[in-house]
Amino acid sequence: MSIASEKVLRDASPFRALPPPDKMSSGDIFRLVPRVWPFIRLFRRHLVYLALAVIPLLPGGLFSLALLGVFFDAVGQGNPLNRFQAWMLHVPMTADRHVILWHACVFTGVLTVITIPYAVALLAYGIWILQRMTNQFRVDLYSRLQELSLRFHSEEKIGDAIFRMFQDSAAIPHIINGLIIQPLHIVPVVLVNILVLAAFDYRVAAIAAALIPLELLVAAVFARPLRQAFLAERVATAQATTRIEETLASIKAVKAFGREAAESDLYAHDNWASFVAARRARMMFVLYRVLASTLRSLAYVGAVYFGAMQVLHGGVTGALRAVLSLGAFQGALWVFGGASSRVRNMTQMWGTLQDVGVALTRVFEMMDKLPEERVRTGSVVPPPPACDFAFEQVSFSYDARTEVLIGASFHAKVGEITAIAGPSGSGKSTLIALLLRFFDPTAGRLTLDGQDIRTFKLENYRALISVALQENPLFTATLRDNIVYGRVDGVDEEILHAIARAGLADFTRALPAGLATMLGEKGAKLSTGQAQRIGLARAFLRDAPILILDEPTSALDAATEDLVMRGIREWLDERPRERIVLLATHRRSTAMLADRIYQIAQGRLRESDDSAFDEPRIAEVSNG
Amino acid sequence: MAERTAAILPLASHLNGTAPEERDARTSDLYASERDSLSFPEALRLLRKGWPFFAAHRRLVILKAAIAISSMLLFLITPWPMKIIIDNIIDAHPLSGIPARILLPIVGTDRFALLTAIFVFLAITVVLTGISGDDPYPVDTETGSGGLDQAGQSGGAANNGWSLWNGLLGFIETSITLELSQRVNQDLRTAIYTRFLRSPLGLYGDQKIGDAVFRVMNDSAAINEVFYRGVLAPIMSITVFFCALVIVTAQFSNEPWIPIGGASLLPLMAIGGALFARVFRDRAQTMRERGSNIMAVFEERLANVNLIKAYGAERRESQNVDRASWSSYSATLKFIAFILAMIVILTPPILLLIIGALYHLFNEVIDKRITLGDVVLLMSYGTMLARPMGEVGAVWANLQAPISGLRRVFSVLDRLNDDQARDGDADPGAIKRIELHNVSIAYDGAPPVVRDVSFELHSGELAALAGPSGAGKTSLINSIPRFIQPCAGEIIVNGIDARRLSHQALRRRIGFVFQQEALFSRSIADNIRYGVPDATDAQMREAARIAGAADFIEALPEKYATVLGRRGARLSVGQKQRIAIARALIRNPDVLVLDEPTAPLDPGSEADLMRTLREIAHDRIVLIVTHRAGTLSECDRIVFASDGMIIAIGSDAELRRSCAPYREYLSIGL
Repeated sequence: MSIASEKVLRDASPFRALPPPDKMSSGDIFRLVPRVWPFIRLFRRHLVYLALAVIPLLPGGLFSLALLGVFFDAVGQGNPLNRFQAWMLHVPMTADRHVILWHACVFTGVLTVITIPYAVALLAYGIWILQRMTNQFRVDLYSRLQELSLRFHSEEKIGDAIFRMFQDSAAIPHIINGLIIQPLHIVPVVLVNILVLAAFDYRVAAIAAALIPLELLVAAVFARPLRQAFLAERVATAQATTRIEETLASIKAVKAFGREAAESDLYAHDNWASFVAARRARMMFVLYRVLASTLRSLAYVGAVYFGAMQVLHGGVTGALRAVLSLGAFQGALWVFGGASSRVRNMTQMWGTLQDVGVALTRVFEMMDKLPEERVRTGSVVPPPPACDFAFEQVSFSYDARTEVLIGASFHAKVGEITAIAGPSGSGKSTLIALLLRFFDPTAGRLTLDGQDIRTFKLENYRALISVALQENPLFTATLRDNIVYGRVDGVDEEILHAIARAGLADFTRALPAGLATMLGEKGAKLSTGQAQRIGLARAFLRDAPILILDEPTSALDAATEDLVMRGIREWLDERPRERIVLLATHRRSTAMLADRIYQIAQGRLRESDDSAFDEPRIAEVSNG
Repeated sequence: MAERTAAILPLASHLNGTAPEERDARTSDLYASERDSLSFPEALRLLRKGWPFFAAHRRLVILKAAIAISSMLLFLITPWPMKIIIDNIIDAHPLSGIPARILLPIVGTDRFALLTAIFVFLAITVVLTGISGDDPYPVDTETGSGGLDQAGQSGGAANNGWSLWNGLLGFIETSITLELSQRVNQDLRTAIYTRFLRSPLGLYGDQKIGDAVFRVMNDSAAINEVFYRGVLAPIMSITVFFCALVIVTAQFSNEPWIPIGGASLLPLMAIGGALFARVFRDRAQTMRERGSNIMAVFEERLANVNLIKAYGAERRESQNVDRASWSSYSATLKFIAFILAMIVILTPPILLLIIGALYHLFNEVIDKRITLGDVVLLMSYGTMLARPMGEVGAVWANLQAPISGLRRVFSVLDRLNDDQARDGDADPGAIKRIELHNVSIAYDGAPPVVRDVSFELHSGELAALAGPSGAGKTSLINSIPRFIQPCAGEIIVNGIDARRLSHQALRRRIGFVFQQEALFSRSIADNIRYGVPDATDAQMREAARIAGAADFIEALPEKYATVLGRRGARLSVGQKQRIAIARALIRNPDVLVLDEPTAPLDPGSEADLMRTLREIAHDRIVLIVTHRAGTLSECDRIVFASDGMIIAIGSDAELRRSCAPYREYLSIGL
């Protein structure tokens, strides 16, 4: 699946010219077809099978038309059967009315019993295809989001992404249905039906034909207001979703500040705005639908009037120039009903497409986001480190106005623990983000054994690194799953070893379910110190040659800190010629255990030995 | 808006009565009951619980029901024009029966005049109601073309309204339905959301945010479906059935088989529905579970995206999302497959009924007992007799899917405690003293993490709670503002049992700074003012200054107006921490509790902060949870805990002298 999805993404990327959803024109709706085409293509074989499978159902309409004639003319009024009807029912053309009735009933029963399961199976098949397609779309959208830079992620709101991912992306079947399947099916059927009607009565055929431009007119007038109303609804509802997600993620603050009622009101407000927008959109859609439907119904009433007139006059105006029967009248109305309701359905579909169009454009808007600093992968597969990792005159800023790093240089040598020490906000975490290539520097370069890391294949480069991040991200999964995250084939023995190194051995032993213990959302049931060490165990287990630790001891007490630092040293000394440890810390006690310390202040780095750890206040950290 | 919320809360709060005992911090069994099959009494209970949300909009309910039911009466006239056209216009039989009484005085016997009259009548009804032999068509832009799963589907369901009609009547009816559905849904959503906000902190631990979002946004829509399918539709169906029955017996007293045949659909659908109800329910429930699961999987992955990137797990996570997403789709497909299987199974008996009716009626035509127009009329009335009966029979089966959603909604309202539901009303006044007596705290029914802890805090004192990681320190401090409820022991504030205090009053006086700080993606100013929205700029700046945040904020290009990214992204952890401290200080609390405030700070900032706290503490209670020796030595009194129990209480110097575990705790690693 994932290989297919990469292909789809590549295929989709040339189309980048969709306007923002609030500036869409009706024509832009059609431009969505090429955008969704890669997803349709993936399932083209199934779509062809489906189309072929529909063919046996087509004569059904012919049989139904013939049966109307049988019931009303032959059975009801005693007229003789025509040849087709006689062949169909296996009776002579002048058979007894009771016999014809009996045969017609059996025929109807057999026809229905055969067609319904078949049609139902086809329906299920069609739904399956569309579901596969929507699923593919959803997964690709996720993969795409994952690919975007962290800057995008630090600004985008999760709730909004949830809404686009689930509600907006669900629009894709409508595009396929409304712009491809339905027109392919409806246009020929309507044309044929109008021709059939012309054989019966020109005026009835003319009414059917005149309905088309009228419906088109309604569709054209409403398209833009409908789009705007639907867009407003989606934006407002996404806002309400965002509010829930964000507030629940910060629930502790809400409670501590007694803001539950205020937050409820804010949500109720968002929700109300979403409902007002929804109501406006729905009412406009209802009005649109009612107009489309009333036009069609009035046309139908006209057809009844002229059809009945025609029968009363003995029917001479149609192409057939035959005397018209009651059965033919019923048949003509049936054909008229089919044609006109399809025209109306197209109109309604067009209304739905306005909603779907803005929805999908919102999705593509997110998919097409290419932040300027998007990290590009190189082509070289990096060898494991043999000598050192270096920052060479690296500068970086998140935005043009504030520089976070200014000409920072340092070397982290194989076999050594290198500490980056400095106060909070001095740029330590940014440095690590650059090292992971979450961002690329605005000036200078990062090298591994002298080679610029931008030349490396990103995937292989990151495989050399294992990292324990400062926020200790944990998944709602078992302890084991959280630890094996970086190396899924880790066996229990290795896991326990990593746990011991991270100073978690006692903690794990005390858990009744051991490694199988479920951690709550974001590790909610753990203390920060425990979460921190799980992140550490995860990094140890991954066993990549470069170990990066962002404040690995900040939440630990002195005894545990010592344990953890010994674990890190032990890990390094296992293969001192291959491994590099780099840790960012503000704690003197931790930095002191490093082989080499760089101090960072206001984005500038300088090397210091222990004695040069010379901030006057450092002395206060003596812990006795 | 505030009044609206206030009006909604009672709707949900009386529901809390079913779970009277205070659940301390138990979590894992929160939604356990959802895994059971839904029983019949349980379903009835859910209906009863849902009713107050409709009763709150009684006038709209009555209006909607009145329009829906009375418009059904119009529906009964619809077969007549075609009968008249066939019999009296084309076949030239004279008018008879009910239409003769109405039409003869107006148009006489002329067939062309009759046709014109019918034409005018039809045109008027079309404009009024849209009648033209159309199938009723719900206003629903979300469904209709398949290919969706539960997570993609029901977002818009809350906003759907329907009418059997087009035309003017349809327009009016739909607008009333929209109004009703939306108001009910909004109330329910707000009630669920509020409950999530008010659940005790420990309880929230096991929740997935994606699941909560799903329950609020998607599951809530089920309530309207339950009402329309379970209450309104059967009433309308029964009305139509009886009216059609009256007309058929009045016009065709010698055709008893048509009503009997129509009515026989009731047991047929009821038996089919009852047999499959359980399957429907279980499938629908799985569908919702999987839908909420994919949402939770997605949410969690987006929240942890930097870990995924750092570990090169993108491909694996795409596969995880794919798996979760497809399992949601396939659950939906299975549900649809069951409905389709039902259709296939029920086709032969229903077909037999229709063909039987056709055979019988055309035989009557051949034998000249009725006319062709009568056939059209009787087949239409047959449908009007049969369809409602079928619907009544299928009510139970139809209810299964929405009821499973309603259960997910009410398991929040029933099982998640409102931590303010048993609120006291006492106001502690300015807090001068907090005592903990033999307090124990347990999660999950697991062994307590805090056992039998007693200590007290006084105003004017800078106190610390210290101990190895995992000692239960965070649980203890969370119990003071009653974020979690101790399972034994009591907390006394100013001599009053904390359970008798109002949450509002208690929390208003306590400033809290959490360990992993939660900031909002709003401006820095709004974050600092969070607890006191009407604080002045000067107050805000002063709080930021005391918290040591002013310098770096002033250095930002937009200063206090800087909008933070998602959860404060792009500030360093230490900076977030200081904003959080400013946020707590601006409320000028009597008690300030800080969980590891100095952990992310460098020694310089730590010393600054401790100086500040020392000043603050001169007329307040300040409690710091910390590991750091530098912080501890600044405090007046240290409560030293290990493994959920208090080991010793005293000043830093005393503990160093007399407490071996404390010495051990501090001295290693230096």
